[in-house]
Amino acid sequence: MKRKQDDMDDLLKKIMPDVNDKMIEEWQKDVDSNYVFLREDEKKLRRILRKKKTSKNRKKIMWRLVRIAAAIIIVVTISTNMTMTAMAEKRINYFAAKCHIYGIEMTEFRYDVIDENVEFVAMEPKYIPEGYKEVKREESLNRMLISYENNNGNSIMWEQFLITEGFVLALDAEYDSENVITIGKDTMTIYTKGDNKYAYLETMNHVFFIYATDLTDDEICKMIEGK
Amino acid sequence: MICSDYFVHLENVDTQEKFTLIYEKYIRLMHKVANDVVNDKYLAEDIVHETFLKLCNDFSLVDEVDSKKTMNLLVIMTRNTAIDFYRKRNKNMENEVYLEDLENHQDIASPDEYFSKKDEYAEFKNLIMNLAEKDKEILLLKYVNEYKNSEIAGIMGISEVNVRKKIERAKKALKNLIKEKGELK
Repeated sequence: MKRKQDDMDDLLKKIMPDVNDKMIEEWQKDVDSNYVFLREDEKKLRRILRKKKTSKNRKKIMWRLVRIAAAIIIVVTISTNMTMTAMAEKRINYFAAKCHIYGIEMTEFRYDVIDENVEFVAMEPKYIPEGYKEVKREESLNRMLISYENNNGNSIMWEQFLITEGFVLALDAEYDSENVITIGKDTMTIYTKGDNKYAYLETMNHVFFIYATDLTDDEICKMIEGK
Repeated sequence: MICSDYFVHLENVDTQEKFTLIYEKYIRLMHKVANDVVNDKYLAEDIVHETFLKLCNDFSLVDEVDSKKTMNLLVIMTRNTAIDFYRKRNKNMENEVYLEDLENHQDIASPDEYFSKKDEYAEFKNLIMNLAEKDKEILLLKYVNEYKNSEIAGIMGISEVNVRKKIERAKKALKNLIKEKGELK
């Protein structure tokens, strides 16, 4: 029986390359080699790709924004108040500066962690706006991402990081308006560009980030308050 | 989707350079594959970007830029991403039937002849060509790209058990054909 299985594997290894060629032939039929992507972000992407070729490698963690048509974020708020533990001293120093990364003007934040003994404590929102359901969740030792979507195609991304030594955050430095909101002892900033909103909150060694395509500032506040 | 979304997942300049070359070489093929599923060129653009983002997360699976393995991976990832998009946005029964057809189409009654009879293995190759798209894709990833079942499961968005079953099913079909031809004692 084992012999027959091996035979089948051998046969498949022998015939699949030809099958592959035939499939490629089928795939390539009717490909429009002159098709021009119409979205604005495509143009931007190409420009950045060209510039990237001359840029140097830089170690950094950049924020990933899912399904964002245009980058908008700049982060300028840092809360020094503590709400998450009983520790009585500030744990993070940071340094922010304007920079260009792959041709985009960004604000880069470099953090120094004073207390490295803080562990990542995943916190998810207890309030979820009506109609949204969780569609994706990623968890690791120092990060959690939860994505929600509703039936209208709107999405919310909730992301939390533990800031570790060497953590660098670089966010795009363009937005339409900002709204600074005090939540308890923390300060959250909500940035708006077009229909999209981005909220940033840093508290202790953790950073919270919310991206939403169709939420009000109040709803974003409710989500962060209920974490 | 912005470029930095891609590069955030790429470790160094070399991989970013490779990504750039792949992007420029395959983007229109991927767009065609996506458009074949959703029949909406703008949505197909989003699907292509989404696929590139997924690719960044699994960039270790990528072979050389100009290889068939890379093309296989990109086409299969794009097609599966497109099907996921379509499924999420169209949940009525009629569309489910369409998706079923996309994933599992097999014309067993009159299979197409892709390979000439002069080819020693023509019947086996034609049999594979007439398998459901998803089954063919799994065989490609297994026997051409030489991925592990767990990697194939990740790419296809199905369980490893399902991958194994589909491979076994294809082998069984080949075995039956061999029996029919009297080549297996």
